[in-house]
Amino acid sequence: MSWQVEEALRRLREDHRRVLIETYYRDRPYAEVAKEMGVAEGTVKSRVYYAMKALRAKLEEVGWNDER
Amino acid sequence: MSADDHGRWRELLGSYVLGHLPAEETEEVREHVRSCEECRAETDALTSVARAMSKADPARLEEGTVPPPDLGDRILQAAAGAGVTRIGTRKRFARGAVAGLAAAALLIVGFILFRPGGDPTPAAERISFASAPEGVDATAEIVAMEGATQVELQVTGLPPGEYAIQLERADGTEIVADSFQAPRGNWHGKRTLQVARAESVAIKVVQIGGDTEMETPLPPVSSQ
Repeated sequence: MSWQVEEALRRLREDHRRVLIETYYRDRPYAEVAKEMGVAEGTVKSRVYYAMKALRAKLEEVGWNDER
Repeated sequence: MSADDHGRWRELLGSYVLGHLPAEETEEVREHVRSCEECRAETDALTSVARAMSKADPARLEEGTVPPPDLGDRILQAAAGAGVTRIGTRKRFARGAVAGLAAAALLIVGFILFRPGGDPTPAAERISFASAPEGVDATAEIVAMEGATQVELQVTGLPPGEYAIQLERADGTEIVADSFQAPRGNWHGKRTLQVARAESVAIKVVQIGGDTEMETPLPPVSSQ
């Protein structure tokens, strides 16, 4: 159910949620997002990684079943 | 490539899986993943997360804690995809102790309403949540359909918020209905869950992002 993913995203830390929204949902260039966040582009990349790891834990919390 | 660098490979895997890396970097990561079991496993896990991400509607996130009005009208997906696994006694939606639930006092109040013979209208089961949290009054009417179960829920006195209706299977997995909004703590509506009535052993209403929860067992289906 999509609301589970949305709820999992809401439960993320602000900086994790923000980086996924900006790079994935808004599809903005990493260079732009990096500038806005005041970090290096490499930091945005690693932040996306940690955000997705955190999201995985939240998905489990809301009972998301990934065997689809 | 030294062991120190491996962390850098790992940290690229999120962007890699999302397809965000430039062509050359993508190829470099692909090369590395080909020969690194740890990163391959990590990539598989992240691909699963990416798949979940693709299902979310970002517009609904922007609204903060106020969900959009159409949330209550969503249609359920197939049962196989909607099942969730219970992990021990961990509550997925509660952030602390469940308010008002005394398991020892849980009572089943249900009776079957049978229509006169020949009437095609399916029988409805009336279920009360006798041990709902204080101030909450809830009844459900359950209608068995082909491979699905329709739940008509009438509830008052809930803490304002967003709630989900769940039917629980004998093996502990749950079929989750789409959620409903109760901004003033009351709601009356229907939800269809993609699980057969015969397979359902309990019905549950849980607050999303909150502690309120109520559950009542469902009587086994008698052969008519």
